[in-house]
Amino acid sequence: MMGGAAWGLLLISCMMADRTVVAPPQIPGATYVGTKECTHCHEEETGHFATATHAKLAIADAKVGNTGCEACHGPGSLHVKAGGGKGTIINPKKSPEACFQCHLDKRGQFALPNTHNIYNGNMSCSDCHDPHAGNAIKGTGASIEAENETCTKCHTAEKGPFIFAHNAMKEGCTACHNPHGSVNAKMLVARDANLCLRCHLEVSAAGTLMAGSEDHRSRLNSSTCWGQGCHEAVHGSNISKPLRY
Amino acid sequence: MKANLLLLRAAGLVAGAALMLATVRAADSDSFPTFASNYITIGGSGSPVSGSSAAFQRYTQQSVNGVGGIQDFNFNYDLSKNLNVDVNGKVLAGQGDYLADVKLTQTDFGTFEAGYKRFRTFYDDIGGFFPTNNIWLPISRRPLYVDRGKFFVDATLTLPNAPVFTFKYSNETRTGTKDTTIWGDSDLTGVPISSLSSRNFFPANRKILPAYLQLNERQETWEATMSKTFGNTNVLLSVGGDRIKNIDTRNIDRYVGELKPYPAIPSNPPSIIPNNFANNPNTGFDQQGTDESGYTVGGRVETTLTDQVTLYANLNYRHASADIAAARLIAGPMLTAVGLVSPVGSFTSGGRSVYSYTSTGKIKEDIVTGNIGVQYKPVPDLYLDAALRGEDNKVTGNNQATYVANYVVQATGVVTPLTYSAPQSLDNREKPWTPAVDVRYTGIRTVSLYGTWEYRSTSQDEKNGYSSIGPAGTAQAVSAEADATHIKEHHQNATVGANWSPVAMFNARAELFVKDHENRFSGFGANNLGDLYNLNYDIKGAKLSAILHALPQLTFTTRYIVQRGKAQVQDALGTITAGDSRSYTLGETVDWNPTKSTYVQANVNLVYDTIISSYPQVSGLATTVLHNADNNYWDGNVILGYAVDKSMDLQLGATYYKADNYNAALAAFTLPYGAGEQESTVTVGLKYKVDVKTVISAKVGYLNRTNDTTGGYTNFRGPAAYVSVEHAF
Repeated sequence: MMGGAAWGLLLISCMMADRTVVAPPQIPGATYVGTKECTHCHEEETGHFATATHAKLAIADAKVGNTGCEACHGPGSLHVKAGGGKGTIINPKKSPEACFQCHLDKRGQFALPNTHNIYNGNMSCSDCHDPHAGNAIKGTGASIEAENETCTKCHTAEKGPFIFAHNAMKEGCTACHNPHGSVNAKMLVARDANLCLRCHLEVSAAGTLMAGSEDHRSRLNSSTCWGQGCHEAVHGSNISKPLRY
Repeated sequence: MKANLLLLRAAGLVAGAALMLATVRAADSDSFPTFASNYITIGGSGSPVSGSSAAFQRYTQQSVNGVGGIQDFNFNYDLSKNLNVDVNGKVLAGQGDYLADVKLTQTDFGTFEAGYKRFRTFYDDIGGFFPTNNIWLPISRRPLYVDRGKFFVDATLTLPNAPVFTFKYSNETRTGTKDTTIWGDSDLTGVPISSLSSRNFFPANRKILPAYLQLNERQETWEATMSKTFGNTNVLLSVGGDRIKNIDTRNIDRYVGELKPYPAIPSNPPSIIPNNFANNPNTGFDQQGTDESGYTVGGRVETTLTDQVTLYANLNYRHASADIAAARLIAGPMLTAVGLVSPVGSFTSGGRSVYSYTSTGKIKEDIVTGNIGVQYKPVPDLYLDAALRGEDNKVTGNNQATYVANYVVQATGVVTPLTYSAPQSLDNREKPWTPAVDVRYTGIRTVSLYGTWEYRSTSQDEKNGYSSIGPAGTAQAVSAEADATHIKEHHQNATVGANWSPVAMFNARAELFVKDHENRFSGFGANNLGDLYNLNYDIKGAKLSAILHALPQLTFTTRYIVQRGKAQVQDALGTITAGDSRSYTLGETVDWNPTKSTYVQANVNLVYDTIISSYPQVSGLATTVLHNADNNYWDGNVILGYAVDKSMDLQLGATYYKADNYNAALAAFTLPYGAGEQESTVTVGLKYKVDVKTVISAKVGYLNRTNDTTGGYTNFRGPAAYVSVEHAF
């Protein structure tokens, strides 16, 4: 593949135009104007930015680079000159590339086979993260929201409450799922019984593999803990204490 | 840049939203036009791949039958001096992707927006692959998908010198069929089965039968707010409600293609049992329904006392009640002296009935949540936010189940229906408190320092009434228990970090994080071993990033994340390290402009991720049951963009992904789950400017995906093509 790309570069190098191009999501020809310029029109977004997670990266010396609005939205001179407008500024809501500039690991995770699709314009990073105020990971700290609301606002069937709760839900959905992407189906952090045994493993002196009062060695031969006939209702059950639905 | 793209997934045909449009931006006067308003993009794509079409759709999230239509549409018009209308739309037939959105904006009055959007997520209907006899048991093997739809209204009233009013309403649906990882049992694995169970050192049974879930979900939400600033104080009041109606149905298929003979194969003398004689099939469904109504009232006050001090407080109250209902009806066919019978919940003497029931119940919740905090800036370079969050969460519920069973006498074929009433209940009260502190310091010219700390402690009393059935001779026994569990939780999370830019060409960031969690379950009642224990888990790690502008045209961005987690269970059996997880991620991006008309961007991520639980600790045969969970992979992509001439841009792209965690040798003892797959794509894209109002884009590529974990049954490969015309009007 790299060879093919290099071949392509060589093939057309003799006919390149005299134009400046840059890799997205940068804005060619634009220069930094400072966050103060942004506040004139975007007070709603800038008003509480001091409380935002990303504000902690702000550096006092502006000479070393912009660490305010333009760190994510790109240099704003063309946007200001045009009096606003969509085409002159980077809108991270439309493309995750702005976020991936720093969050390289998330670019890799969103490229995995099991992930939320943020590339087709129907979902974006900002559906789950608010970069303009408060904690970027909602529901953490002393914020008024609950952490799981980020997920359950769309996945209502898993929200509960249930007659028989699974305490793991209180650890957050991310205890078992990686919402950015995983090599495993359903974005699970582990595809086998290790997922559950992290918290439920008990081992007797004889070396039996206990979970609750029963030796699960032979059961784990055939399946995950949540296979049919076992603990299917992993998010909670209204009828079964062992979470069998 | 518009993000409505075809042929997409980062490790699919192209890498990232930026690639599809082959956007080579130019700063010069002959640059490509950027259509921000009043434009339409019409496009289409096709992918004549060979192999599994269901897998193609799942992994690329693109219809295998082709996609076409209006990819993006915008119409923006000033109806008057102060009134603007903005219309956005999308119609992608074949993809189930639609948008119709109208927004009116009147200066010094407000906005009104209404619209409907709908998009499709593809799934497949696969189960597990068993390598010993190369068995693959698709039940329907059909492409599946779920459509999400949303009708929404969003209005804001912003009259001068008046409170700001907002109103939002949305009606969201989620319908369709998706896969699940709750797979059913099969003995058709080729592993020998003896009539003497003592000779079955390793069971033949593996759960590899696929399952699917039919979704029928609706959620309505509305919220009205009013905010007003009085001097230095801003007040926001809100009231809202929601209605959730879900009926989700899961198919249950176990031991498909099997049926025990009657009379039964004798165990003495011992004989080998054909695998399709090992068990009786189970076929049915599990349906769970919820009809929930709730409302929320709340308010927020924020007041700036001085330039240094701002106080804020929030208070919310939520009440919701839900009617719950369920039906799990599973037929259990079996042979008798007079032939086949197939009743729901069948069982024989001393056996356990096939788990079937119907139930109805009600759950109520009342939640009061509040926080109070102060933002303090004693000097311009120091920011401190200290807050306390409290919650009073009360949930009560009752459920009445009726277990459905049928007692079968195989010698006569007589079936006797039986039902058993079994109630369940919940009374839960929980009061978590969370103090949190956020500190930032920018007093050093080239460095920002920060730290966060939060400590959530919960005291919870959970009372459950529980009834269930079990085997008891010719009937079933209903057992009941009442559990009262007291749960104490202590969750402490902390981070410290720094952002350092000594010069404009270099930036380095470091963050250390630690999570120290402890759950203690104690109480009384008929609890089993394992119900009550202490769980301690600790996670610690670091995130390191560096950006080096080595040359004005060359930038390296590096990110390294290391995370280590340990969980410890303490119970009557002693104390054991239950979970030990280790994760190391290294990412690198290189941005390079070798000439002013060319750019190259390359990304790579290397991940080592493993979870260890029982493997090092159990003994004897148990060591073979479960190995470590490895989730290692690496992926990357490279794109090259060129401005060919004033009217044409060219882009070449390639992606690669590989996970090598599949170990077929584990099949002797268990089902190998590790991901073993490889995916690669190459693309060539052209973008041609017809005139200042019209741009044509085209992209062709080839993709190849192989999957060892599914025995190659989900492989696919082939070409794909995309073309679009973007026109401004």
